[in-house]
Amino acid sequence: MTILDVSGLSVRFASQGRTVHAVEDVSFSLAAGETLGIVGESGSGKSVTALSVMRLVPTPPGRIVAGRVLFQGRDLLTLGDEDIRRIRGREIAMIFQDPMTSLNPVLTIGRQLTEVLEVHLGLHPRAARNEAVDLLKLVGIPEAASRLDEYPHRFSGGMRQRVMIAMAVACKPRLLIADEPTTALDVTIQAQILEILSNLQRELGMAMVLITHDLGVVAGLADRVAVMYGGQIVEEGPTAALFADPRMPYTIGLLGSIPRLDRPDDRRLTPIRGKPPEAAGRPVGCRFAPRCQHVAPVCRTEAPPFRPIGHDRHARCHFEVRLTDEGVHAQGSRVLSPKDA
Amino acid sequence: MSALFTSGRGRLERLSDAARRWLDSDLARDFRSSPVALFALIVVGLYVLAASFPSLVAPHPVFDLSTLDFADAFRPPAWLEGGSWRFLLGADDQGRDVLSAIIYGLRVSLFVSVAAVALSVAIGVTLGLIAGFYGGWIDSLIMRIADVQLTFPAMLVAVLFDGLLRSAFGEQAHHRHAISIIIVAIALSGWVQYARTVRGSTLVVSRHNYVLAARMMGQPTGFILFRHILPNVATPVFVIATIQLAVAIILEATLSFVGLGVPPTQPSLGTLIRVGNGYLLSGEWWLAMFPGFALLFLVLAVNLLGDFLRDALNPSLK
Repeated sequence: MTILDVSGLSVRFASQGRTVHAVEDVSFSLAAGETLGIVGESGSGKSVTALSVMRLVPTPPGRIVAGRVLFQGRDLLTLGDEDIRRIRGREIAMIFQDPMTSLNPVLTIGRQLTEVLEVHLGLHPRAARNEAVDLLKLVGIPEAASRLDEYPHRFSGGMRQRVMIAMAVACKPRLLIADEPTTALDVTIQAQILEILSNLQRELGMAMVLITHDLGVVAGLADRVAVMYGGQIVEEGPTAALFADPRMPYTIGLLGSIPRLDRPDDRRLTPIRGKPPEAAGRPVGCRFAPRCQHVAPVCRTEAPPFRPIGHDRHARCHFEVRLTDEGVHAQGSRVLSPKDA
Repeated sequence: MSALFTSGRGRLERLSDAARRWLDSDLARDFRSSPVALFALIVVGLYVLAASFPSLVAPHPVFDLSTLDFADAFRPPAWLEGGSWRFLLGADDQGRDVLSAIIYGLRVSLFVSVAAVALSVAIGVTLGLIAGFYGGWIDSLIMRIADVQLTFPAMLVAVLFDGLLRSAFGEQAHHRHAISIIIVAIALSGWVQYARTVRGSTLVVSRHNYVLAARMMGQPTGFILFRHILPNVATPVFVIATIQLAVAIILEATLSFVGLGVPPTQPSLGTLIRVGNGYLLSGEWWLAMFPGFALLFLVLAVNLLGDFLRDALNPSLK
């Protein structure tokens, strides 16, 4: 059953007289209980996509100019302010990157946790407090009852992210959006947080959108992956298939640039040459064309369509790509055949 | 507020906890290391105490006309020839004890200025929060109104407002509501400072992640404004309020002095000074001077306290 269906989402930002297409024609869908990983580098539009789903894109300067965000059949983009407010935190919750600044420094942890419960579930303060203790236990905070009266400055980054997760899942949302949930944390804490997230997801049957630039995190948790580049989704498919056989040259480059423990070979890592496009002055044709090793003339003039490739997969590329390892690394070798060039 | 978390622990215990936390706080430490601030606090405390329980502190019930004796009229202060220890600071034209009149007058002065400051804090903080949070045309509108307000001196606002209501409701009704009118008039002349300060900090604080988080949790806007943002922008408000309190006391005294303030039946310090002013040249100086000194010390103490708070609560000066 599809719980979230985003189609044709476009978000623009007006900045110093220029228009920046932060997100363009992004479509994806998510079944109940499923995890979608969205990966991409900084500025690729991951976070703006997430904020659009919550309808929290700062307006102005941002504006959602097109698209539909169907959540359980309702279009969140056309919902009234009061209706969307009831969905936030209750049906869709979100946690984000920096746990150090995500908690209000002048309110106790308990106050911040209970107010979610009181606002959405109408719990009595005492009941909310008991519930808050359970929530803290759920995310693995020891001595939960006494820590409830403490202020955030007494909590470490990992502990704060646990509190944020507790707040997010307080109302048992149907969908959890985790925007770089572990980026600000050290590696051992990362692993703990990810485990908590996946346990909670299983227990509560939540769908999850996991936004990250860490492919390892995605490989471990996501059922499906969407790769974003320059405000667009450039490739999308089941995690295992996408990792085993990436089709879009950007995805290929991305996977080629990280060390893999699941591959015995000791090949050198290959960085993607060039740098990501400025959001304001993106190229006309394929966004990735200036950096692509397999670029053909058509790539520079025509934007490639987002089309199905094989079973349950899509890619935004002119090529019917089928790459061998050599194809990735040998410059200029034409293993590719342009579909319509 | 605290009712939320009283389960399991006694209220008294929490109270003593709070007291211990306060004594251990940075602010309390700063107080102990600053004799001037401590002195100012004590002076203000004494004033407040006297104003709160005038019947216990004042030697004479000044509003009880039967206790007045014309034989005591214009009795000089006790240490002068003809003075009496019954009238420490002398007596006025009707034989009323000046010290007692000051204490009762203090009550009116303090009540009016505290209420006026409270009202302007309420107006200024609310408008500042709204302007800073929503931005756009709401922000422009509120801040332009504030700019216009600033072009009117406080005195003029008070005179205008007073005159307006006097002609609208007539002398009789005006008399009855004189205290409320002066409170509103002073409050209207003071809210802009709070609005500007709070708007500025709100602009910064609303961009913090925890405000975004609160919105993500689907909390209502009013709740976010007053529960999440307000506590983070409140510190400068305390400082301004303390300093504005001194301004309000003076303003009230000034208005009463020129006859626009509280009616003579409820004399404030300003009224006392005005009445005494008439006798200044005929030799009965104590009628105006002692209320004047009372006002001076009060304002001085409040100002010292305000200065101290401004430094103590400013993290960049630590």
